[in-house]
Amino acid sequence: MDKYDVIVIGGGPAGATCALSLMLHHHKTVLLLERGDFTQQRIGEQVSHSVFDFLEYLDLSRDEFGEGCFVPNYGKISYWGSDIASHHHSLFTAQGQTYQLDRAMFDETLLMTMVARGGTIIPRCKQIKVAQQGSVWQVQLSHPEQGELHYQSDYLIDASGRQSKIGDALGIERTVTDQLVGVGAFIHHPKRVFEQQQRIESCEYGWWYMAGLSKDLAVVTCFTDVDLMKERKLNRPAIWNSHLAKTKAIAPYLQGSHATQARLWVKQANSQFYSSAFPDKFVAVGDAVASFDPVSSMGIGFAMSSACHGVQALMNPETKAIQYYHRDIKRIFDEYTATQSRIYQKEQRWMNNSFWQRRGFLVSQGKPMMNA
Amino acid sequence: MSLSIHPSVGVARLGNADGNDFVLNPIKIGGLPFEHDDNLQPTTDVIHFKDEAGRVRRQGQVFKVLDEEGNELTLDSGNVKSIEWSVHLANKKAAWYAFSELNGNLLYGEENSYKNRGVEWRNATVTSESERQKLIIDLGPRTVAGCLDSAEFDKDSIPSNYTKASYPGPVLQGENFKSLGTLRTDNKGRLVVLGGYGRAGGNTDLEGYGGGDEWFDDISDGPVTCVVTYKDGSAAKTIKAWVVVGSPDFAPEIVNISTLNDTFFDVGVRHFDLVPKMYTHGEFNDDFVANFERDIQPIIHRISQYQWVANVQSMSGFFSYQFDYRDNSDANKSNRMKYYHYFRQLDNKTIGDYDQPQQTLMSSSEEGKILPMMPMNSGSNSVKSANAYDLTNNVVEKFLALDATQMFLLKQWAEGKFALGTADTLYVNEMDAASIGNCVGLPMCPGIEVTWSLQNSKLYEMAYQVKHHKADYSQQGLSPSRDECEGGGCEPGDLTKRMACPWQADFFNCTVQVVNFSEPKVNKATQVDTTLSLTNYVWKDLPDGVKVPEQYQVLATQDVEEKTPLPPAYYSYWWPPQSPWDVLTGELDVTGQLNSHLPAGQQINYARGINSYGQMVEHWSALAFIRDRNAKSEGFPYFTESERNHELFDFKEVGVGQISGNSEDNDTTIPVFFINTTKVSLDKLKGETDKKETKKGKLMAQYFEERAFKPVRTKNTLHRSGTRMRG
Repeated sequence: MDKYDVIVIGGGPAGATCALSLMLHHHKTVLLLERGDFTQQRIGEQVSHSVFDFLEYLDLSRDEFGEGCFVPNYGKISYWGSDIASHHHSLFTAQGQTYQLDRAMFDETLLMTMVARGGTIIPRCKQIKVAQQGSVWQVQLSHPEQGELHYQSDYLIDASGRQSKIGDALGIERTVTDQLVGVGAFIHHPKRVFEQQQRIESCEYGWWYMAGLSKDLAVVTCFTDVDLMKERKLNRPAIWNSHLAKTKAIAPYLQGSHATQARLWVKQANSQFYSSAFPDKFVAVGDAVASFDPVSSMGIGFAMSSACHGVQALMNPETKAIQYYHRDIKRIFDEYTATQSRIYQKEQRWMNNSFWQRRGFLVSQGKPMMNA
Repeated sequence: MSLSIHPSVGVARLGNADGNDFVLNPIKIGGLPFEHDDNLQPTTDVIHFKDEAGRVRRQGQVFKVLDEEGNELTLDSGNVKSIEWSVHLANKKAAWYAFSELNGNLLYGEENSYKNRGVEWRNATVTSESERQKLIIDLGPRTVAGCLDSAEFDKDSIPSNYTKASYPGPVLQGENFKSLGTLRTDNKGRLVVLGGYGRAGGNTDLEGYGGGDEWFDDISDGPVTCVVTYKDGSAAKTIKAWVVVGSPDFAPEIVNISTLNDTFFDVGVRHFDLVPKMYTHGEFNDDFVANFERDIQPIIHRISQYQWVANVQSMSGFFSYQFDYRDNSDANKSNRMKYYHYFRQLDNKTIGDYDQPQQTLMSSSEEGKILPMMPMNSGSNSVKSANAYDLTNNVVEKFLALDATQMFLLKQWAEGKFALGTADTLYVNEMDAASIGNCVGLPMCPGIEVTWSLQNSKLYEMAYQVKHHKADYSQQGLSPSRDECEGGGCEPGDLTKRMACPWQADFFNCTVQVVNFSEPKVNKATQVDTTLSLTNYVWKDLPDGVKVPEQYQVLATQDVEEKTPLPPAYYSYWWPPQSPWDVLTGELDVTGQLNSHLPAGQQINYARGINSYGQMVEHWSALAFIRDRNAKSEGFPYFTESERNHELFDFKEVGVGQISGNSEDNDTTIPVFFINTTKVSLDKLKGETDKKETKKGKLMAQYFEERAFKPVRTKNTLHRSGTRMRG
């Protein structure tokens, strides 16, 4: 059985950032376990300029990510709160220049760097089980080719995303404040019209988002609540298409394009956070510790910042450091909730529709809808 | 009414793609495998041999039931109530003797038995019979029936009454064992057998072409039994067949000059009265009239195809139609006889008789009359002087001869005793011929699918029927030591147990062989290079009368290389249709050529970049399939590589100056391909377009796993066979 200083669960930007930080600043041996095989297409996201500060902290230069990994956004057109288009950088943040991120390139560079610097990554880890025995973490998993594997470590980091099961296993409570989902598809256009185009448009059951990933490829997503999706059968391609056709800003753009896959994907996009204390020598980062509505464009930036701060707290001999980190997470989540409410409040046209009603309710009550 | 299963001996081929991603067997010798629909009905010729991740798709073998008129019985046939198939696959390699060329082959008599030759067991440290039985991979039989049924030969589905199941545990190198294969039925109740997943692993470093101790692979073979029941209550019928799982056929359209079908036919003719007009009472009938299209033309066609996978230019005269091969007139006889006499006669299989035709390379020693005899292949033992270099008593078979029946038919043709046009009589069911016709028949050292044991009539019930030893092994299991060549029929695993373990070791090493052609008794010898140096000294200022020697002889170096082919030797091929060696590159677009680092149309070494046994074990599925790119226009072949996993390999041109130390020599470079184990080029991963992201991810995941889990090591030993110089 192999022993490492730290085991990181999850191979997204949060997990990779933790691993890089642990190796560079704390000289730890790191094992990173990833559920998938990296074949799933990842959706590009917006990041602010601050991402480069974190990369510098990890001793990575922007050039190492290759051309086209960070494409400056030249604004996005939104139809939110009115039929008239407004141009601005981001609904949520006032952070100046933002960049469209090529997720595949970005994640790959982080992971390849980790391995080049001597870290170990195991993809395709199924049925990951964790337990703390004395001061040692025991991690068990099932690998499709290697069978049952067993590893030990001093520290454990949960970077396994929105649907993390680690918290459940360790008895950490999670507060869920909405049930937002994204139903989407990758769209191909033979005439290459998508470059740097982003459009966002609200509607009675939620909002649509389109982002060009390259000249001929875009991602189009409908965000709504999971019960509304089921009610309207929005996860059926024909119905999804008919709703998309009614959008004012997005539909005209997609004339002549087609989906790259027959099926739509459905992804959780709800807001949630770990709300009770962590066990010893453990920290959660990224979407696992707190996840946000995509309208916030907070995902990647938060993944990296929480990973850097989480690792610092975990390595800090002062035991309160983790508590301070966790308190900061809660504060960020509260601030986010307030801003999220302000944004949804800007839309006043469908106050009788449950999607907007629920978000209006949020504003007046200022507290979570449900506990999970 | 009597029923029979066809093919009587089926051939499935392993692959490492996902279990449901497979092709179906070719239905003619040199045919392509087929794609299939959800009902497992064949649709079109194979589109891709590999899946998107570059993994080879398994090839399933379909088995059908025919009545004596040749009509097929399926679940749709009026009176058929049920068709139930049982198959018992096993792999006995680890429990059998170490491969020792022709030693153990009882066709050379009892004195050549394993025991008399002192051949060692594989895994010799395991001594008791009961412990050796556990070296067998045996998960018991499986049964399928009805439409679209399936069963897997894995550890989770061992029949509850099967008491002697055993399979390999976790290994230190390579991959862990998963399954020997899968049974399926199609929507008409036909059987489809799929083999293993190309996994191989072990606990020692690989040492030679025979493999290594404590290794396993997931090759297998075993009996097929079918029970047909009737609606009208007539008695159920039980019929038998056999199935062999082979490694992938990387050049399915290119056929060996002597196939396993030729072997079966030869045994059938000479031992089972398959064609009494041709052979009866122990003799060929000299008046037999051969048929050109059936008996001769295939041999000529196969010779013509070797050029796409090997450099055998000396064979070009045998398909050049410099005279009309179909002309059976007396006027043409001298041409035909000349052609025939270039074919080597067979050895007489007598131990100790060295002066035999298969020890001879050239047609003559007189300049102007020299041509390597046909077929220009290695024989079945050009590797070792058998019996540990005891030259008094060996079985050496340096060069290949066609089998006895092929040679007889060629002789009849040469003498003008042949007819033209499509033959009225086919002696063998076409399905029976097609399955084994795509396997190696000669040479057998050991071969790649099965070996020389099938030249022995004791393995057969009748022509084309492998004899079943028993129907049920559930209580006592399979024997680790019984030699079926002594008679009594075959157990599961017997046909493949002599093959290299793992098969990749033999595949890697046995494509070419440098064969000594001067000493009938010797294949290899130990080469000792001794370099002597002579130093001259001149002494001055010596008093008169004092004499000092002016020369010193100093023994400077001695290099010993054991078991190298004794010169003079000839560069010979084993079975290039199965393990190609000299092939044409085939990438016709920019991306493909950039990935492969080569233009199209260049002859190049097929295995380039795979530089050790261990790499072959891990990366066999990266090799190309050799495919006729002009197959739709018969008669004008254009075979090139296709579907090679170029992404795996790095490329460098090495200047000769790096070896000679003379920088001028760097104007000449040698291309070098290799697997870069320390990094994967990020540029390569990034070079693809957005839509191919999933492929990039897959490559990355594979790379991470290769780094995280143990690699396969190869011992740095001298090669017993083959050559280290590669194209």
